[in-house]
Amino acid sequence: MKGKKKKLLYRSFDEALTPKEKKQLDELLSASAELREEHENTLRLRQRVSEHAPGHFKPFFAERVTNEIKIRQRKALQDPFYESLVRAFKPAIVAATILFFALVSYNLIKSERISVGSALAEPEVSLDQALDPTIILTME
Amino acid sequence: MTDQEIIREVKGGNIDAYTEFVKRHESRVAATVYGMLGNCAEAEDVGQETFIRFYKNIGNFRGDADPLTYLTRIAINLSLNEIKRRKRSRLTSIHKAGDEVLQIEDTDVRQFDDTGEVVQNAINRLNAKYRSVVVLRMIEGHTTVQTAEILQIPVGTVLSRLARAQDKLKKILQPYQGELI
Repeated sequence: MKGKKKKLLYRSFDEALTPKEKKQLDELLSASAELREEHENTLRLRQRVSEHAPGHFKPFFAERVTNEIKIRQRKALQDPFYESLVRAFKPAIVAATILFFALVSYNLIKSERISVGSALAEPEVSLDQALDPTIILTME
Repeated sequence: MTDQEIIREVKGGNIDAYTEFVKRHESRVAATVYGMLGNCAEAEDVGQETFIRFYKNIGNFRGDADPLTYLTRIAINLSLNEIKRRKRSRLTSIHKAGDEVLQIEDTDVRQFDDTGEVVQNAINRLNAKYRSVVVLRMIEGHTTVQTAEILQIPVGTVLSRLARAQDKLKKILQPYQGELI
């Protein structure tokens, strides 16, 4: 069946056709047995689907909804201090974490060595600098 | 009491007035949710969450708007989220159990005895975007314009989705030709 005819047929179920379109559809339907069959099939299908009652909630659904709202409200009231603290510091914590990782990455790239010291940009210490000079003197 | 009066009461802090509002609209929301998800345990949770979300945003609700449009939009969005969640968990299950899970979706409608089950199974086999137009337009009887408004898509898109959904439904229900359709 040609797409245009079918489109017009389907549209007739969901939209008001103009008088010209309606006349055109009537003519098409009287001329084509195939289109008439399609019309019948579509009508039956839509009837079946519209008669279908998908389901309903269990009894006292409305009361359960209201209770759940009350429970959630109570919960929110119980912890207002903790929640406001989290809300206030969350952006700062996120920003600090991002900054920390950015600095670590920068330090690692700059030092070209992977170690905790280079990640934290600690100055490189030679063996002599590391040893206590008094110990060195004693040893001598 | 009209919907607007109840909403005014609820906005004023009378939460018990909301019970009446839920009672008034639960059957429509149930039709949307069950139509989208089929008869499953999650449907009631999605229905409950729909009303809770509406309650949370009741302060922003304009008095002149139809609350059912908003409720239906929330119900559709939450159902679509649930369908996505199912898809994700199904993919995980496929990794765990081979192709066994895919067969559930491709179940032959001939195995169902009840007409309602046959129709619902056929609807469940539609892609979510086609399923939503079928539920809103063909089951709940919203007009094409209302369907477009709820789904926030153009009317032309609703019409083309409806056409494709009907073609697919006819194909799925082919074994029942003459009997059901």
